[in-house]
Amino acid sequence: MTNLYQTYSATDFVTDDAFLKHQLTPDENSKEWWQSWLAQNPHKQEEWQRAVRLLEAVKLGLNEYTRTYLTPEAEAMLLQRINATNQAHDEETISRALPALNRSWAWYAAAACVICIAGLGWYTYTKKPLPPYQAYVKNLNDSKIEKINQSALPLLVQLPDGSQVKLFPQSRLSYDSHFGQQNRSVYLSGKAFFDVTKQPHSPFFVYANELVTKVLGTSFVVQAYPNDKHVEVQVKTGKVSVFTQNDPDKKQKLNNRELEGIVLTPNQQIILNRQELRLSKTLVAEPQILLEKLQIPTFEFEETPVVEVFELIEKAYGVNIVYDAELLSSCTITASLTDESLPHKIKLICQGIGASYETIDAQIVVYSKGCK
Amino acid sequence: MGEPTNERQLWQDFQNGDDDAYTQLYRLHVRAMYRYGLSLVPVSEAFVLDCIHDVFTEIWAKRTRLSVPDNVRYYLLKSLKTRILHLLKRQERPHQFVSQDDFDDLWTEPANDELQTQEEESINKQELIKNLISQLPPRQQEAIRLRFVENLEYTQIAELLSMNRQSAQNLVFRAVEKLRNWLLPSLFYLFSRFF
Repeated sequence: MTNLYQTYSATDFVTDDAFLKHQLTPDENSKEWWQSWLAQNPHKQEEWQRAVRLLEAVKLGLNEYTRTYLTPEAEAMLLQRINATNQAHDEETISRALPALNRSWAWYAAAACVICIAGLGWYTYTKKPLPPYQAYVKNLNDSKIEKINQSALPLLVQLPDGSQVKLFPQSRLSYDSHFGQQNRSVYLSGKAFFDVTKQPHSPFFVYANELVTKVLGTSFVVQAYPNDKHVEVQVKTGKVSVFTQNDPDKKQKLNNRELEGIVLTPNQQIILNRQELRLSKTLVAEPQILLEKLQIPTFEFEETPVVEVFELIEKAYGVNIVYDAELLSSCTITASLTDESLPHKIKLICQGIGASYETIDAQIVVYSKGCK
Repeated sequence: MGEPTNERQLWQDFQNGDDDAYTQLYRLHVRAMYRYGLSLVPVSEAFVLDCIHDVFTEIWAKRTRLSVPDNVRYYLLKSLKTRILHLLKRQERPHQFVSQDDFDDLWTEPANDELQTQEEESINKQELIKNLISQLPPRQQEAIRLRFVENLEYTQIAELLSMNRQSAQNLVFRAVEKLRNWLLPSLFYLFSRFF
């Protein structure tokens, strides 16, 4: 063994099991062994040192791989899924075993089964995989802060960074007691309206069921009750980006200072189908005018080119209307639309010029053959 | 890696149905499985997580029939790779990864000036070596990750790469030797006390 190393180069050492065992997981034995070997082979000391540094270099190059990061949330969610599957499997195994019972002791068996099933039911009940909100909260530190609104009225919560949250009835909000020091993350079960103070360098995150909402400074509503089939986010002002917990690029989206992924602007909403984890973006049911009171135009039109009307509406509601400007260039409209809602305005205009429309991906698309 | 004796105990506890031992095993190895899985199918995190799920639920279902592995990490990584390959084959996913033996031969050596640019672009040692490693054939990369990060023995690496022990050791040797040669010219100004 000792002789074997006489001709070893640095690379030979670095690929040798005994050398690696000593370098990666040294113990008293290996330390002693190599010390005595080096003492007996002074002429190999230099090569041995080279090998140590070569290994250091390789490990340094693999550092990024070694530190591939799995977020604690993802780790917890995966464990939950695993436990849920295991439980389903265990229950099935027990219920399959039942019909095989021998008749002569069926009575005892039946009694035993009742106890067994009752016990299992209790076990299932107490060990049920945590709903997303509970799983999040479990990962917070002990001094976490949780607000629960059991009343029938909304509860106003002030966060340490000055952001305000209107917490609707039957809703809960949690955050770390160190909120704002490293990140601004809150966890929601139920419905809340957020008015977030602007801090361009510190994005604000709302974790609600399977959906993550990321904002820089804006106001919006998140609705995510534990038993809802959908999670909804509606934007009032500013921009937010949303992605799901299982998004392959989630890590990047969490860390990046920019908003990416699906970005929502005012009067838009995102709906997450929790079963299929499918996101769809639409306009909110009742889009609001975004301009300051004094800037709100009247929607009184007389022989006004319809293209101008669309431009006015686009600006007022922050929505995108898609149409063929050339085809519509000869269309005009005379109407009083100030008190109408946005859907009504569009409907009346389209009727007036003999066009049709539909809403696709939060845009209003107008189909027309033009006007004579 | 933790102490093997400790892990054997954990494993036996888990086989007896101990939830906590099972959770501990999960926590000890899930990150290694995640990084190894991602290195095999980099495009799909969700797919890798699914496969980890399958590995853990399967050992739970079969727990009473399993033997105690010598090295739990090796056992789990091996199961994960088997699972990933199985699903990729069955679904014939578009991102099937190229890992046949011939592939190494197709891999061209980076030209010298290419390496030069890389050195200049690298901000620090870590970046530089990382970039050099990414120039190695994929199987060599996989082998050195398993050897130096997961600390698996050559027999185990050989199993994971479906080759014999000697080939696995050669693979690691070739990778290290190549890295050493690439690094040699730069030692004078980058790694003053390197080789």
